Amino acid sequence: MKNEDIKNNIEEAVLRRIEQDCVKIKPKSYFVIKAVLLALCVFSIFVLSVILVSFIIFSLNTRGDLFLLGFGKRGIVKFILLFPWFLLSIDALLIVLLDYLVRRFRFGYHSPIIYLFLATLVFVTTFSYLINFTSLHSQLSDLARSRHIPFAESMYGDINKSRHGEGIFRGIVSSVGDNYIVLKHSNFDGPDTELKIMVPADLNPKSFVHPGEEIYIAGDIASGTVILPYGMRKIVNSK
Amino acid sequence: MSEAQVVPTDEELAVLVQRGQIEKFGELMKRYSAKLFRYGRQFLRGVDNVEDVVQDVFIKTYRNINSFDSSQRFSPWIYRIAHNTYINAIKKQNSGPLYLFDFDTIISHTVVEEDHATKEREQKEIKEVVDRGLSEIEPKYREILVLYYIEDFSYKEIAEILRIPIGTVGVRVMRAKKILKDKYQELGIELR
Repeated sequence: MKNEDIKNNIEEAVLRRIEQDCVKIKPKSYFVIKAVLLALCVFSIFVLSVILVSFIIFSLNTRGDLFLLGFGKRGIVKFILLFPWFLLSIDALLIVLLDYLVRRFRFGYHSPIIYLFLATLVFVTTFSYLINFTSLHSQLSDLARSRHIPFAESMYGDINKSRHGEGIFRGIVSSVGDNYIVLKHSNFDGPDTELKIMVPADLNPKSFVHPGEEIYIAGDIASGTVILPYGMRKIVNSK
Repeated sequence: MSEAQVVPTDEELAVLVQRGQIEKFGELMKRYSAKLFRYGRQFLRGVDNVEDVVQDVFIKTYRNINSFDSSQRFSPWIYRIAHNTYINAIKKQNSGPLYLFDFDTIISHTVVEEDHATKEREQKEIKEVVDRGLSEIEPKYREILVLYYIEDFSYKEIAEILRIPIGTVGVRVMRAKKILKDKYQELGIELR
């Protein structure tokens, strides 16, 4: 029978190759090492993703950019423009890579991709949020300042850089007038500057800010060091 | 008095091969060569030398026997190796990718496996006309029909072989049946 011949041909050919020692069984250790490396890879990418998302949360908190969401349409647009989309894109790629690797495990390939993606997103976001209750990023930021971690220097340095060009001002109130606030802005990368924030006529700045308090302002530079704000928020319990 | 001969299971044979009893691999091949050749012949439409491809499956099975987990069933494991080998063979034959992305696996689908009577009836229909229709449909649907109706795997086993969610298996079987029936209408073949 033809099928029987084919069957025998296949069996004979394979056995011949095995007997001639052309084919060797891979040792168990090969698969153990492969599984360990895969698990390490998954873990490393997860940790990297968590650190990246937690850094995004840390930078939003440190810079105070979340305040922009309460500054009306203009504030929302500014928030979208200032959001670290590049870092988020890298993180999105990491999560895609993570899911690709996780699908090599049984629990991974039995789940629809959307569930896996959402679960990864929830885990990464939760752990990132929890990390911000620790002093990890503050310590890394200090280390970056003293230039001990070269790759982190530009990342953490950017958080504290002056953003006058983007219409964001942050500093300590040095004095308050009837219709203005004088703000002392500490530049991470230059000398301190003093800015005069003009307050709308219907508001009394003395009723809501006092010297020594830190404030976050979004506005336009009218001339030199005079700022016309469209949003202002006092920073409570700042570092 | 005669002793009942205990026939080792596929899983037991695989464990013996892992322990160094290479000759037991021949026994595994005897059990699977016809099945894998049939699977390959149906799936690898248009690919030359199905025999050589099936040989590659057994070579890979032998090489990777230590990755087989004896707490799982052997059949889906070897069919998984066959699936990967056949996919590579199809890719070599065509120059482009088989399918870029598996959209079926993105969302969850409700699993509704057919009842036994329905499956038996459809199995008979499909086996009768399969040679004429299968080569006309794309490999993704061809394979699921072969695994479900000809190799007679359950949804769960097919999910293991193809490494997709069980719900996706059900959806793919339904779609494949519809595509095949449409193809038969085109070819003027009647299904009872």
